[in-house]
Amino acid sequence: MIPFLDNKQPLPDAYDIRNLSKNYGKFKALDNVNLTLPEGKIIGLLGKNGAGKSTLMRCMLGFLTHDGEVSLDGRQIHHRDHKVFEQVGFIPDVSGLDDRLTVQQTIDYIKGVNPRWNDGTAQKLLAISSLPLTKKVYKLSKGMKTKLYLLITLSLDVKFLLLDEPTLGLDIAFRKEFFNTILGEFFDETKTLLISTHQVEEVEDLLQEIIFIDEGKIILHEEVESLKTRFRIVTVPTDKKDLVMVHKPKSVSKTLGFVSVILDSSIEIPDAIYARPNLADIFMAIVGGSNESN
Amino acid sequence: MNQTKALIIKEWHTHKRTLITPLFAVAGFYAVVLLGLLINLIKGHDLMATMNVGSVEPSTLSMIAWVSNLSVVALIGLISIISALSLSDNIINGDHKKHCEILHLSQPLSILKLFTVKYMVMILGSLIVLFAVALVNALIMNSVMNYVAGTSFVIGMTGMIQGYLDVAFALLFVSSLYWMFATIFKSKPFFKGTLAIFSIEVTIRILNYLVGWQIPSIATYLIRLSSVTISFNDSMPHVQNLDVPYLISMKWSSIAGIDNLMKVVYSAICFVAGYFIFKKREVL
Repeated sequence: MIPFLDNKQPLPDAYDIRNLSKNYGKFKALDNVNLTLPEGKIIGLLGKNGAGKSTLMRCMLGFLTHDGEVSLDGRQIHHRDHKVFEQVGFIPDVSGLDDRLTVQQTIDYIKGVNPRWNDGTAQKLLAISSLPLTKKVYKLSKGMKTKLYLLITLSLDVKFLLLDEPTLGLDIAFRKEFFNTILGEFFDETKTLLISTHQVEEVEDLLQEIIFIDEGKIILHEEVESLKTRFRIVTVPTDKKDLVMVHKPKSVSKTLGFVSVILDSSIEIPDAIYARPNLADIFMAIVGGSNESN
Repeated sequence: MNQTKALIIKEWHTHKRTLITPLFAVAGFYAVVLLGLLINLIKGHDLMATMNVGSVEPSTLSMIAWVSNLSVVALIGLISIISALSLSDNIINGDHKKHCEILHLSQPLSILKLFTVKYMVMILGSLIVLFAVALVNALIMNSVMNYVAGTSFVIGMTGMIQGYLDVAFALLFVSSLYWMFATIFKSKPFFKGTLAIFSIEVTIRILNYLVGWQIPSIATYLIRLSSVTISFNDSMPHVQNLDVPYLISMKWSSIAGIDNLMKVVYSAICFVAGYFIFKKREVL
């Protein structure tokens, strides 16, 4: 599916991934992935544990050797290709800071090694962060570490931001603050955000596109709104469950004498109650399996 | 230039304790000596009375000045080599062990620059600290020896410089070798690297025994390149005559010899091999 600007001109593709495969021994972590990511979008990457989300991101950053091609703005990315970071910022789990440095030393280090550093943005973020500059990173709370990671990443003038389960282990207040800060300080129509997260319900309203990945394969890549109109929650009394089960739904939930399934919007069931599904529901309907992805 | 400076500062912040280990060791030694002197002074002992050098030949005094400086630098050098070995693993694998490798590798920084700066911090950092400690120690030691026993200050300082150069080449070789091992093994590179050398040595010996080959011992060769020795084998008559100027000139020849050249060559090979191995690493 090709995304469009308001004037119906296709957005330029920034990341172009062709026939990407990655094996860890006999385990196929990525299986012939083809994907194009346009500029100016917030894209979610959803998959179960071990589905290949982190491997895909690491291939996009040149961290892993792989088969196939990954290009950014027409330039092919090779293994350990540092030039990719002139355009891309990456936030993995926020606890991945260097504990041996102080906050000030961390800021000075990134400022020194990364020519994309924007001192104005950094000062602005620092002013609202109340980070203790002389404190060693290992002495910071998880919330403070999140602020520091955001500061050093959002102070970079890059076009892409890749977030790999960035809020893992954070409480709900910091998770909310994390995404609000990213939206407020980073995102505009020229920038792209790819977010891999288990807490899809928290970013669902931000996402413009969604990618489902399962067993190393891209199952779906679609605009969120279009996807949500393609499916709906169909609820019927338990005694009429055969009417929905005939469509072989991958996910079935039973509550108080009712059965709910996710079905294609084109399917009409007599006397059924219809509701709009969220992304987790649709994921379950398409991919199936346990609720790990929620 | 900014990147290089930032990298050097970061490595300094993260590894300064290991880098200045020789300084702590020598400072600790001086503290113990000073404490001993203080206790003796409090007990009312005459410290100068214990040092009777009136009957010692001047050539013997020169020998003492030269050899003691060589030996002391060798001892400090041993500590420097141990700290450099520890650094080789910490600098290469420290980011990985501290789970912050991705942060450091997510910067637009060429692997060659990153690798070279890390290597230079390990080698030059260790050598600078060693030189500073050895120099200060030699200045104190030779001043005291000159005042107390009348030994030659110049000969003493020459011994220090020769000892330093000897140690410097050994440190360069040993730490480069284990630097390369640290790029191969992310955990316990010292143990695994040593085990690899041991395995090769055993294989060589078995082959020599079974097939009758004459492959030279790799362990013996590596130990020779790693050692800091004050060798008098070629100059025993002169040692008996305490011909210190001759020994000093022999030492200069040895420093400029083939072994040290080979240490530099092997170090360069280890650096290049380490770079390609490090570059091949996957970042998980």
